[in-house]
Amino acid sequence: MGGLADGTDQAMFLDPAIRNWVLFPITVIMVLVGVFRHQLTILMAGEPPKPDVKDIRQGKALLRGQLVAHNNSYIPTAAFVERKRHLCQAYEEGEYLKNKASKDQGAANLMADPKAMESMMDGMKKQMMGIVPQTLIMGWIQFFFSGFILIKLPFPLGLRFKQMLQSGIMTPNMDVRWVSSLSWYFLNLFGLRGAFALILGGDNSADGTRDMTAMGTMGAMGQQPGQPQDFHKQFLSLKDSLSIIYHEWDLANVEQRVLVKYGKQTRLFKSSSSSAAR
Amino acid sequence: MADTSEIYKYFEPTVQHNTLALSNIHTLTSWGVGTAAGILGLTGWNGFIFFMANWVVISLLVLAVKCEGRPSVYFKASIMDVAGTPLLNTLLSYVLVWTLMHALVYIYD
Repeated sequence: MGGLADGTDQAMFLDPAIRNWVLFPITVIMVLVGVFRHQLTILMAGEPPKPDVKDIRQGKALLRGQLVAHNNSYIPTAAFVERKRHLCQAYEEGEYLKNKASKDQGAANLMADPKAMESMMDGMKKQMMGIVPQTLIMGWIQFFFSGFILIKLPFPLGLRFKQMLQSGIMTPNMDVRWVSSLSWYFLNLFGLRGAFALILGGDNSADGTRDMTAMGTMGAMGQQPGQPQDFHKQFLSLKDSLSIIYHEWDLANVEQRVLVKYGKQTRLFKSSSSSAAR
Repeated sequence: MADTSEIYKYFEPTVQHNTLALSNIHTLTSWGVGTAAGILGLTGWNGFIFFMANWVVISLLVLAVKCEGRPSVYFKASIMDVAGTPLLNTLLSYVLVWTLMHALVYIYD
């Protein structure tokens, strides 16, 4: 199976016309379409939407609460208790909410918020940019370049792939390594990512495989592009998690710990500053 | 307390630059290695062993020459970032070029 190419496996030679008119054109077209998509995406992106101050404040207030909860051991107990008290009261009263009056009405209707609409449209446009070229190229290849063998893979694959890679060719005995043009398309799809990074820089929109994964997650997530978040509920749950933290300052009693470590003192004495938060 | 140069491996633009440079190195060398494998007529497992052997050599070269022996200065995850993360992408590039060259030399008249 391995080793250098020998004559015992099905030796066939292909017409060089296939190479000139199918192999190279498919690769060239894929590269060009990738570059074209990248430029078009840049053109269509336009101005990033200017966010609202209240929107940002909402998000940052949530983040701050999470940070306090996460890093509570780095500040002394008194400081933590003060922050906790202030934040919990603010969350309870909806101080940071964008629309304080409607805090009890649940998640805002998606259509009512124009900014959310715009960002959703943008996301959908980007998705279109991704899916459409791939589908078009696949269709074009199926239409023009089906029904013949294009290339032989240097490595073997299982028999299950025969149907996918040799689609359109009715030969039950031919080695799976002889494949049709569609598999060349797939090879290019995965292999040209490095080339695109080379030509277009790291953050390029020419990557076909990223759209495939995006399609998968979009289907799984349903219709949630992040906007219908009920901040009030999140604030309340954060308030709960802040309340139940058992606070212990990392630097409590640190003078004694250092002395004990260097042998100047034999044991720790309990001091009042090391008690946990009430 | 930490060396100021350590900040740069966490700073987003420099991380991107380093990753891109590494990716370019791997792309170009995998094209070269793929061409060699195709012309030599390697098939099956030999092709992959050839790839892995070259991968080790090239990773060592990158560590020694580009990173000057200290990958932790340039990358967060040190050796894993240099030799582990780009592996799959490079493998796909390699397979593409290997298939192409092998076909050009041996399959077409």
